[in-house]
Amino acid sequence: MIKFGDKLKEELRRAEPDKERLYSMAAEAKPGRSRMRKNLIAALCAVAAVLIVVGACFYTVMSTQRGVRFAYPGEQVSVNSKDYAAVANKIAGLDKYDTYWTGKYGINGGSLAEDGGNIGADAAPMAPAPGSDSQVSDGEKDYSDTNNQVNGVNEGDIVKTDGSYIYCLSRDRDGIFIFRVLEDGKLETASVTALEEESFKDKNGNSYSRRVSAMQLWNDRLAVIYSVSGSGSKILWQSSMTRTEIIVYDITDRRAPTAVSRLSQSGTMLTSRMVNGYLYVVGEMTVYSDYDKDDVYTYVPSVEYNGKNQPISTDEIVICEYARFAMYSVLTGIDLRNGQMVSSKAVLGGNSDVYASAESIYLAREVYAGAGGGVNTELMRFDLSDGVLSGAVQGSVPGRILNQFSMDEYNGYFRIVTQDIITGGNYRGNGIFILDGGLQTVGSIVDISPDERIKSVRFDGELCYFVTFRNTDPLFAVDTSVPESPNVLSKLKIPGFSVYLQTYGQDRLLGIGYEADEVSGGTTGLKLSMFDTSDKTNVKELHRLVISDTYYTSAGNEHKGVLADAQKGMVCFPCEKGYLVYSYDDADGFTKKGVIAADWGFVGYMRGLYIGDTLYVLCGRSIGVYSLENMQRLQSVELG
Amino acid sequence: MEAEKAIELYSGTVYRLAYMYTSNFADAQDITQDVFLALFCKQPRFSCPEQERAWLIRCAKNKSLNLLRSRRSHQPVNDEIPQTGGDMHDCSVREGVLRLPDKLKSVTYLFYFEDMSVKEIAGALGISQSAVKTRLCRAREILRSLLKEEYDYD
Repeated sequence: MIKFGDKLKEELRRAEPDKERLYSMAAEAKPGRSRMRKNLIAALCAVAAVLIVVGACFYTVMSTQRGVRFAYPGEQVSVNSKDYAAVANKIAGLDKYDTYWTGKYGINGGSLAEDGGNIGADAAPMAPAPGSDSQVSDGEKDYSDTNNQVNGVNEGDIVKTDGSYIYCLSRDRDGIFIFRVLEDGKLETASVTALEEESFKDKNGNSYSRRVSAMQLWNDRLAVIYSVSGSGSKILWQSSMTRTEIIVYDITDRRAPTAVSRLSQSGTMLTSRMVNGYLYVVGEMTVYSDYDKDDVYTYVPSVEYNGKNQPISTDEIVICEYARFAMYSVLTGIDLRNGQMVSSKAVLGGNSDVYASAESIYLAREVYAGAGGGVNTELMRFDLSDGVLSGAVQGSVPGRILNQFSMDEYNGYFRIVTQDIITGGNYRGNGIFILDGGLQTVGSIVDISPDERIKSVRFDGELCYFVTFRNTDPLFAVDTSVPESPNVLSKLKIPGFSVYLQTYGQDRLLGIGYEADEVSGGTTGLKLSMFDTSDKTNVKELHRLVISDTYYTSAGNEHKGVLADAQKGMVCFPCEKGYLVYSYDDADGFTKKGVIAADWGFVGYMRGLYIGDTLYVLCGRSIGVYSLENMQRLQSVELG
Repeated sequence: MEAEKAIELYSGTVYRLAYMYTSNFADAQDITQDVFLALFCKQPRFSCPEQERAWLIRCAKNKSLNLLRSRRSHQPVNDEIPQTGGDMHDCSVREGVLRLPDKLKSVTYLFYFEDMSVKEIAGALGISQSAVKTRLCRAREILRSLLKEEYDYD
């Protein structure tokens, strides 16, 4: 008898999609497209030509500065592979991504899967975005920071400001643009610094492609972070040559940034944090099946500084018991004052999410818990101090997190919200866990809203707000002031759900998200909510606004695109039509002030910031300058 | 995983699954584009390949059902068991699967075409293992009565 499966495969064997269309869509959606190198002088003339003069005249002073050229990746220090025997042994026993599906290692476990989209939602968001209070401007500072999760812990971004200048990477990554902010709010170009080359070869003729990722700004220093990967087909070479590069510029003279130091670390860039001039870069290195056990550089991450590349020493490598795939998290600490690499660490086991406070950095990794079918989140904490990463404390909680906002450190305790906690049979619950300094759980609640998905989380001191959703949205407020016994103070059921939460001034919580049909759970438009949290046991929705002519916001996945500032009374965020600008006050609620149109492709890259009474909106290839008072466009500056 | 790699490994699965629901290849292509666009825009982080595949499968299923729902507008979802009439006898196995009620299509496709285990299917679709087994049983019953040829369903 013929097997049904074989017959089905035979009949469907030619059912294949048009992959070319998918590839070109992938290329369009990528952050930085490869382009032919333009003649730099011609590019500068083009930039000068499109600057629009409105009202008062301004002049342009531009200079270009090439990045410092180093041999890539620097001279390799020779290594005794015997020193790394323990690491080599562990690597040999781990699964490798490139051979995973070919049956070499078999398919085991992995029965719990993340949801791939919401029922009824055409373009529903997935990750909830935690909020942080970092945009409250004090009397001194009248400009917005990057929308960091934690005040003072700076996340890398494509646009930065210090109130006097705006620093920007264009969507097509033609260069680092530094603009001087004039008295009337308009921008004047101070310099355009060429990025490092997108495609290059090393002295052995191997090809690489480079893509700029983000910037970090501190006083007179600008750090630009790139991801470099091999562009060939040999996997071995690719895994050992993928690197994250950091170039530190001295920008004392904004018209002539000077590269002072070039550093790199193995692996692709994951994220960075900067605290008081110390930059911490976290990346991920994958080891593929064809690594060479006699060449340490092919299976141990290396760091490059002062022109030399060397593997991270064995006492800085933490081998995790839970490791399943041959992947490392790679962390470095860099002092931006002198551009020196202060410390480095590697964690064999990898990680998917990062949370950092001013004192510590936590890596979180989802790991299948075995035959029971559950998933755990494995945690690794390093202490941060003036660029030095130290200690290595491990912990674990059941369930999986949504993203960085699911984690928070407060008063020496670490709090984490997870979902997919197995509590008997097929039950999947959501919960909150409080861990002490040794990352041991001291208190928890594990059965909140079973079978609902977490959509957003925000910690605010001792309080934790989070939203779960299936068809309606309970917004929970949990008190964690007694670590041993967290308790739910209030639960507000409303239609729709927020994908981004942020405290907004005193006793207010802002939610950006979606309105949803209460029966089907399908989304019907965007929604803004302002919650009154003056009584934590009775959180109320004070104002809501449904924006029914839009259907998608990136606020859930990219919190840096949100600009919400209680002092300015503004709430701005990207949607599929462009950048939406709303004002808010308790009397009138949300009032639309305008929308700055932009292409769908730019949704993840839109940014808004304000300096004084001027709003600057970066939409891909240009910065629009607007008066906050009446949304009149004062200027439009093209980037590249 | 890199975008091109994801397309190479999973676009076929997504496409065929969408086809199972919509019964036409044009819709399947549109849904496949939407699924991968969602992947590239949202860039979720996966801890292993099964998770990525499961995400894509669930996304494909949801988008397919959305499309069907909007087409049928106020008509009920297809839960009916197809009637076995005389003219069904020359039905190919592909057509047989296409005629199954919506709920049974995905488990049938994932089990028989993608060779996924009951456990993996349960994870990918977000249903219990017993639900997967029940649906496979129902699907086999219907296919046995629909199809002229006898096949080995194990």
